[in-house]
Order: sequence, then structure tokens, then C-alpha cells
Amino acid sequence: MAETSSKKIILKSSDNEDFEVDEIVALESQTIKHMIEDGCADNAIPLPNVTAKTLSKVIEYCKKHVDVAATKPADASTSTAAGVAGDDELKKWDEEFVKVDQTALFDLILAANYLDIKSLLELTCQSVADGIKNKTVEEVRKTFNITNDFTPEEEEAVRKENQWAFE
Amino acid sequence: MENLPQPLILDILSRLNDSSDLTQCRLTCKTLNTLSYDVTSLRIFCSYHRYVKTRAHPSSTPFKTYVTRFITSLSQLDSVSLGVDNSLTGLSFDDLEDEHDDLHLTDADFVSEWLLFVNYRLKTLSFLDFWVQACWRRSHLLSLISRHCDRLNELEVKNAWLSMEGVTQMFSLTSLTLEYIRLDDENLSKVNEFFPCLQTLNLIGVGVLLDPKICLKHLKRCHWTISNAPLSLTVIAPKMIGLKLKCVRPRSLVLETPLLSNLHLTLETCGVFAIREQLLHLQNLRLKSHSLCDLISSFSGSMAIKELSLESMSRVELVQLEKPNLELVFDVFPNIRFLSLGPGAYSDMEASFRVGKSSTGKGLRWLKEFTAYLIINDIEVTLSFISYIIGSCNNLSTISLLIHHEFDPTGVGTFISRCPAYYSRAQWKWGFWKEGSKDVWVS
Repeated sequence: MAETSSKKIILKSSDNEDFEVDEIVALESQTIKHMIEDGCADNAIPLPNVTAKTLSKVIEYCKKHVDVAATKPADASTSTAAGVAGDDELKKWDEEFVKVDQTALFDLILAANYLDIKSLLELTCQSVADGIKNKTVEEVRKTFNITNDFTPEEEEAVRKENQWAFE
Repeated sequence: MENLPQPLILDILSRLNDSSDLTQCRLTCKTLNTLSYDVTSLRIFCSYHRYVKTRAHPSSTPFKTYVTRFITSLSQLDSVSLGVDNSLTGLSFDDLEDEHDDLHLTDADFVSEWLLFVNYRLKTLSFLDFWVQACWRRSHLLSLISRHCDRLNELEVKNAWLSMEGVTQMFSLTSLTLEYIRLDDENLSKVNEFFPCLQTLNLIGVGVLLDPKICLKHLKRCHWTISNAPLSLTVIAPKMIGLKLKCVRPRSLVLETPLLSNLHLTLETCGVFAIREQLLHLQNLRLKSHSLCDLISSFSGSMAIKELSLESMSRVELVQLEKPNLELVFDVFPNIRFLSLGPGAYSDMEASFRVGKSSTGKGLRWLKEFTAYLIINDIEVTLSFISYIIGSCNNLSTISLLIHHEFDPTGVGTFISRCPAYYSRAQWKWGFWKEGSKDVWVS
């Protein structure tokens, strides 16, 4: 478990819900880190771009990663058998974490981008990229709710332009 | 998805697994079509299906034409990864005869058709060539890249024959990976000369090397696997912090790596093993060898080692080498905090214990975590040895034992139930191991 910090930070979502978190968890976000350094964290930190539902997920992610980092002894590398098992476990946890519907996934991407949490942004963007793998055009549109704004003529022209890529 | 900020859409498109996925995305909507031409990273791989199709229908677009056309249509690329699918990489001449060169991807003439469109921006370049076509065609790829890619930081080439002729110095290159490469540089002098700023060097199955010497003053990490038996291996790297070296039977192995922090060493035997400057910063040591005793003794004086992993290789010769014992570990590594014994090392040490080669008195007072891969022949002997280890190390907090998957399930239950009685203060973790498979942890 994460070492209990003496300081708690309150994060306020766009729909006015307060989340109290350990400072060390909040510091996973570079955006929040800069706000704290600039002295903007005396009251609740407002996050107007992040809803409570998404913020809850983000906090869950940050907490897990902080907890895992804290359980590794300071002078240990990851190459012990138990250490490698721990990394595999976190990787599996991350894989399960991003198994959400596409709306929630895009909300997480936007939140990770706004809060500047690099590892979460990489995880979520990679998840979308993996979801496109081997899909047809229609399947990609359906999976990610993409509106086809080509006219039939435009679409035909784009297909023709890229015909060589399909041969 | 199309409503995400454009930089994020670009990030996603730049992570796609293959160029064919990018093509599909182009057809979904206008935004993705426009942005697809600005991707910064591209992977293009020839599938087995495509390979078979071009053999059946010679008029279909050749893969090299597809690659050139795709790359030259993208203006922002800084990373290109080009290759053949896994299903094609494992093929050899025994599997098929193929005298074509349509998948000889390290062919310098082919690469020059598109490289000059992206070279000024390129930071990462990777080739996974088709061995069946590449192994008998010497490539001047390195000469081409060295002359035109001034900003290249990472280069990876697999399954090719590479010439060093005409290569010029690459001061921007900090990471080089060569895997299964026939390299015209048998002692690595040209690698040292032309890539002087390397910080990461991976040489996996690179040959044919004779008396190779790595001498790179900025090198920090090196992974080196040699399958033939050169006379001598030398590594001179004053800034190196991590080395993973696997070789067979060098007549001599010389390390001049004073800042080394992590060392993984796998070798059957070694004639002369010389550590020129004491490894005062070595913290993590993994040894796997036929002659574990000799190798362990070479590290006397490396008092900073905190994490130790040992494994004995199975021996086929008739010559009986001395089995390692725990006393030797206590002597040479008194300050370790983590100890892991592979199945061979554990069995050897248990055997030494059984014939009375271990005695009380010494121990590992700092040891916190002990891991062992067990092959249990006699539960009582194993329990006795585990008890001896625990008794020698009073500060253990975690004991992780992996039992061979074929051990009798009833015996497993008995063993697991009896162990904690020896030391209730520690956390006990249990799992199963099987050769060639991932460990399975049950607690």
C-alpha cells in the first residue's frame, strides 16, 4: 500500500464532486504537480475538463501505480522472480483497466492529456491503436463511432487514390 | 474519435500496428484521411499471405514498390520499421527455395529509393529482413545510412548480411541492435570506430566474430550473445552500467567496466576470466554456468552486490566440476539482500548440503528475500535444507518457492503446509515452474 502522506489534496471534478487523494497520488499528474508548486492547491484544485466518472478512474490508475512503485524495495531491481511477476501483474492490471467502452476510453485519453499523465496517455492511445488492428473500414467506423463525412464520390476518389495499397 | 484533438489522433495513428491499418483509417472519414499523411511513425510488414499472393499473381504490386510509395507519401516520418511477418522470419532454405530479391529489404539500392525523402528527419530505423533472400546477398545498407542519416539515434537490423565498406562515422547514433547478422567486422573494430557515441549496443547472434573487442567510451548498456566460440572476448566501457553477456567457451573474457551495476553472465566455461578494475558498483549479478564455483570466486571484492541470481547449466561432459555450495555464497557475497537459485543451482547446493559441505556459523545477515526453483526428490531433505537456509539468514521477510509442475500434488500440499513452521515471521509465496514456460504464482 502507498505510504500514507501527511498531506491530502482535494480535486474537484467538472460536475463539482470532490475527491480527496494523497498528494503522492495527485503528483502523478504533471499538471497538478505544477499547480501545487505554484501554490494553487491550498483549496480544492478545480479540474473543469474532467467529470467525476472519469476522474474516479484516473485516480484509480494513479493510486495503483503509486502503490506498486511503493512495494518495490528502494534498492531492488525488477529482475528477481517476484519482481518480474509484479511487473507482469501490473501489465495485466493495465490491460483490464482499459477494457472500457469507447466513450470512456476517449474521456480517459482527454483526461490523461489534460492532466499530463504520460503513462496513462500512452496506455489509452495504444489501446485505441490496438483496437484498429486488422479491422475493415466499416468495423473501425463502428467500433470508434466515426461519422463517415465523405460523399459517395469523395469516398470513391479516396479508395481509388489508395487502390495500390490494397493490391 | 474524429473529435479528439488532432495531436491525439496523430498519436494514435502513429501507433498503428501496420500500414494496412493506416490505409483503412484513411477511408473512414475526412479528418483521419488528412491526418494519416502526417504520421510520425510507420510500420510496414509483409505478411505470409502477401508473400504467397505475389508468388501466385506476379502482376500484383511488388512489396518494395508498395513500401517506396507509402513512405514517400508521408512528410513527417521520424520512425520507420520495415520487415516481414513472424511467419516468414523463421523460414530457411530447407523450408523453401527462393532466389527472388523482392523481399531483400536491406538491399541498399531499394532503401535509397525512399531514404532520401525521410533521412533529414529520421530518428529511428528498423529492418527485419527475409533471411532466405538476405543471407547470401551482402548489403551496403550501413554505408548508405551513415552517409545520409545525420540525425538517426536508433538503428535495428535483423536477419541480414552487412558490409562495413564505405561506412562513415555516425555521431548521432546512440542505439544499435544487430540480430542474426553476418557482419564483415570480425573483431568489431569498425563498429567501435564508426559508431563511437553508442550508449546501447545489442549484438545477438552476430558472426562470425574472432577475438571481438567492444571498446566504446559512452556505452552504458550492452546485450551480447555469441554462439560460436571465439578465442577471447573483451569489453572496455568506462561508463557501462548494464551488461548481459551470453557466450559458449571463450578462452578469455576480459571486462574493463568499472561502473558496472548490473551483470548477467551466461557461459559454459571460461579459460581466463579477468575483471581489470574491481566492480565496486556492481549491485545486481546473475550467473549461469557449468563452472559456477569458479565464476562466483571471481567476484570476491564486489561488496556492493545486493541482488544475486545463480543457475547451474546441465553438464554433458564426464568431467565432474565442483558443485557450488551455500558457504561459498556466504563467503563471497556477504551483503546480499536478494538471492534467487535456479533449479540447477538449488539442486547442486542441496546435494552439497546433503554430503555435509555446509556448516553453521556463517550466514547472510542482510538477506531479505529468498527465491528458489525446487526439484523435490525427498521432501525431508528439502525441508531440512530450507530450514538450514532460514536459520542462516535471520532477517528474511519474503520466501518465494516455486515447485516443479510435475511434483506429486499430495506432496505439494504436505510441503507447503510444513514450511511456514520453520519461519513464521516471513511472508511465504508459492508457485510452480516448468521448463520453457512462464512461472505460475498461486500466492
